[in-house]
Amino acid sequence: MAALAVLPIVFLPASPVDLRFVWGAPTSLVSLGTSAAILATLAYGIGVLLRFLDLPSAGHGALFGVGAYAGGLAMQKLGVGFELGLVFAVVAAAAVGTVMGALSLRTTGLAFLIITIALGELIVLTMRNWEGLTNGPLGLFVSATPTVFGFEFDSAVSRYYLTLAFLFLTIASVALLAVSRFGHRLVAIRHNESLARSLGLNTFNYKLAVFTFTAAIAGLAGHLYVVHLKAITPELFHALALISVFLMVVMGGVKSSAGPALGAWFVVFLPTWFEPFGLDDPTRQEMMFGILLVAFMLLAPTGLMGLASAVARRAIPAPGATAPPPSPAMVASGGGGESGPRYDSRPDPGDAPGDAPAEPILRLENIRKSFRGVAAVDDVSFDVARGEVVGIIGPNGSGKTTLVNCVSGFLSLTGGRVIWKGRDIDGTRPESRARLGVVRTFQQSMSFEEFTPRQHCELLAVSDSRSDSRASRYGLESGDDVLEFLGLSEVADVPASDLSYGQLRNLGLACVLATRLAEVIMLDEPAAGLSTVETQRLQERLLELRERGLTILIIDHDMSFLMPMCDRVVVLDVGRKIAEGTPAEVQRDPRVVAAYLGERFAARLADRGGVPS
Amino acid sequence: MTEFFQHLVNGLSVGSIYVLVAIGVTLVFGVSRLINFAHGQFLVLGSFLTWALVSAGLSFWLAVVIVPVLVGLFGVLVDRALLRPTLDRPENGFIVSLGLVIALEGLFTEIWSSDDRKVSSPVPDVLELAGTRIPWDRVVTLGVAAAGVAALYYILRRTDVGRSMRAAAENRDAAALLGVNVGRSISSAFFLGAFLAGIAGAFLAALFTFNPYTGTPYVIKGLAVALIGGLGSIEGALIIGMSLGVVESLGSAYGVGSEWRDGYAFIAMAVLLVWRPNGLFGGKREY
Repeated sequence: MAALAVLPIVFLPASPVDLRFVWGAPTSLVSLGTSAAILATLAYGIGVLLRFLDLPSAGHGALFGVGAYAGGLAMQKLGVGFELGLVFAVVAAAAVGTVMGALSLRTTGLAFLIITIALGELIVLTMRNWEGLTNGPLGLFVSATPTVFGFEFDSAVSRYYLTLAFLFLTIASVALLAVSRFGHRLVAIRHNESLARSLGLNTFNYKLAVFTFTAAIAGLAGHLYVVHLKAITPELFHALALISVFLMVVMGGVKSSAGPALGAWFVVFLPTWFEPFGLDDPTRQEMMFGILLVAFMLLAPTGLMGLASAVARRAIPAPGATAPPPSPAMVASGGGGESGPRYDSRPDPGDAPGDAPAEPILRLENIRKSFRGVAAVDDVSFDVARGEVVGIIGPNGSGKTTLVNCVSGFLSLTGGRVIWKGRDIDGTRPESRARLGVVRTFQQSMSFEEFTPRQHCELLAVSDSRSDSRASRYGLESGDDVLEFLGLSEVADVPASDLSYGQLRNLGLACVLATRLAEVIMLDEPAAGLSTVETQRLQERLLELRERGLTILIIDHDMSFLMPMCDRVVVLDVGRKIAEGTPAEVQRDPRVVAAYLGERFAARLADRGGVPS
Repeated sequence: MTEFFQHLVNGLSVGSIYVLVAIGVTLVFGVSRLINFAHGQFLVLGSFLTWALVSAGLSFWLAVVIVPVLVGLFGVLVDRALLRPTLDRPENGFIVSLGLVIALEGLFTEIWSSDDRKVSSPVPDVLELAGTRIPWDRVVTLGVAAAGVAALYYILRRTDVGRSMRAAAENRDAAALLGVNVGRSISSAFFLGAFLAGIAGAFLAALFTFNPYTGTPYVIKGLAVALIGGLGSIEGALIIGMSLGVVESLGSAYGVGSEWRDGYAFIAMAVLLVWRPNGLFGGKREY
């Protein structure tokens, strides 16, 4: 499909009047066409990184050079053929690319650009100075006729088509990546890295994998380049020497499959179309590339980086996507039957599913978290047993969210331990904790806005024996089950950007369940901003999840929502735990009343003999 | 020992050019959060204009007065016409400046050709000090660079233009709310940065040969110095720039060989960004 879209441009070098190209065009044109195909391949490498990670790399020119040198040296010094040389080129570029990626991917934006320039220039400097291997500034001469499966590509035109075949291969693999679950996960990571990590995706590994993939593409292009040029020098691979490839990416755009190839053909053949204006002069060509790059960057204000997301935002909303109100079914079930706060629905501890005196699966021991000496969480300890609902309450600024961040791994501890099933998990990353079963939601509603709820479920689902057993335990095996459970079936195919606020909050919970990983869910103010009806529905669903064996740790300010669900409540004030007990105990505790309403009020109540209900 | 001393002085004079370039990068970043890779072209433009004026019969010293002003105005033009629209996406601004680099390289080649050229030294004498022969032009370069940095300090600390720039660097929105003309502050930063690059370019032309492609290595090093010194920090740029010049000079003479001279900056930059990936760009700003 994607390859077909590019087919027409193959004949572009022929120019409209010169269709002889296919069987016998002037050598200079064929040579330009070959260059265009090679640089287009490299442009796809850079474009993939922009499209999926929003990262502009200036180091791929050097990786292109690594491929060229590795392939060229293998053919020259080891005497291997074109095919094996290709393997050398791709493996070498991918290996160097993995190191470059590992060093640079912790940065974004401008810092990423600069670090990739620095590393790329260091590679070029090494090529120039490692004379024993690379022959230094004089460069490398390779003369080899490419042979693939015994077929000799001995004419320029045949080599052009060989190069083109590799370009189509690249385009096809990029198109495949875009529709794969791996590609969807990359897009999700680009949209919201924190959310992706909280749901168990090891985002760094994904980014490194795609960086390595693009480095391999650059290596492939490099090998084709050395075969095409027959002579290379280190100077060809400077970041600035390959600025024209940037121009190709900018002009063509990265979102469409044909973009970089179109850009490449345009940039490579432009000088021949404007030959009468003296554009055959290399200096003027460079100048023109520079001016065009500036012009394109400025006249497309969303620019290179914004392009992919801008296109995504223009996605056509599916029918019925215009923020539907809570569905009638939802209102009806919320309004009828078991209405009102269900104080009585909380089962006695003895009724808990499974063995009665549940052992603690999550244990917080003397948790401390300070920011520059100010303790946001100070010496907090409590246990959570399997199947329990534990509430965390406290006035604003008491450290509730910080505590969730500490337990979920988004913040490192200043002191204390987090014990999960007897194992100290301090120091592990959020994504590892999610895989162990500790999954959280965020206070702000978050989603991967480009995707529909169904796609969310698909890209997040983990299928291994561990997740299968967890998912079957709470009876939500598939994404459809999860969407059904949370009342999202009707909007399953509407992009998240078009969902209502209440639906987005449900989607947040759906994501957690769709991972099939959760054993304990930590909910950070799940009812914030929800209507009364929606809050009630949420409460019913959470209790249902508890019935099905999930453990829930929940923060909220809405006591009529929170209290009826909780087996136990932990109260924080200024970072310290001031009380813990059943909801009834906590509500009577004078320290809790003091924390919320002030000392004087607490004293007055104590005189009167308790809290009015 | 005398040989060592000569390498040291050479390193310091090259370092002073790095400092002047790095301060320009740092000033512009501080106020606008942009990194202008074409800053090296300001340097080369300074060299070419100095060469053109001296060839036309003007004295070098008169050229040193005129050229920085011209380069400074060119900096404002680049700011207003090309980089200002990218204020919200600094990485786009960086790519625009990359395009500008090769456009200007081409333009300079068209006008002046790509030959190496040099301006004859304004002070050809040699200073004899404790048996060491130090060319006077090295010493003068150091002195002028020091004067430039001192003048910049005065402007930033004691004038309204400078105070506005410091306010805009601290917090662009808050400064704008308090009546600082942020747009003009950004232009001031470009003018002062390009002005210093113009001075550096004039002395570069007298110390070494140059051509249209000379700017890029200097801007990469200026960028490295600005990063390592802490983006926005003038003192950092001063110390690191001098250190880089000296390390390069001594490293080439006694260490791994001159062909790796350019590597120190790349390695230092990469190590730094790996060590503190995000800290640098939000780092401390002193002006």
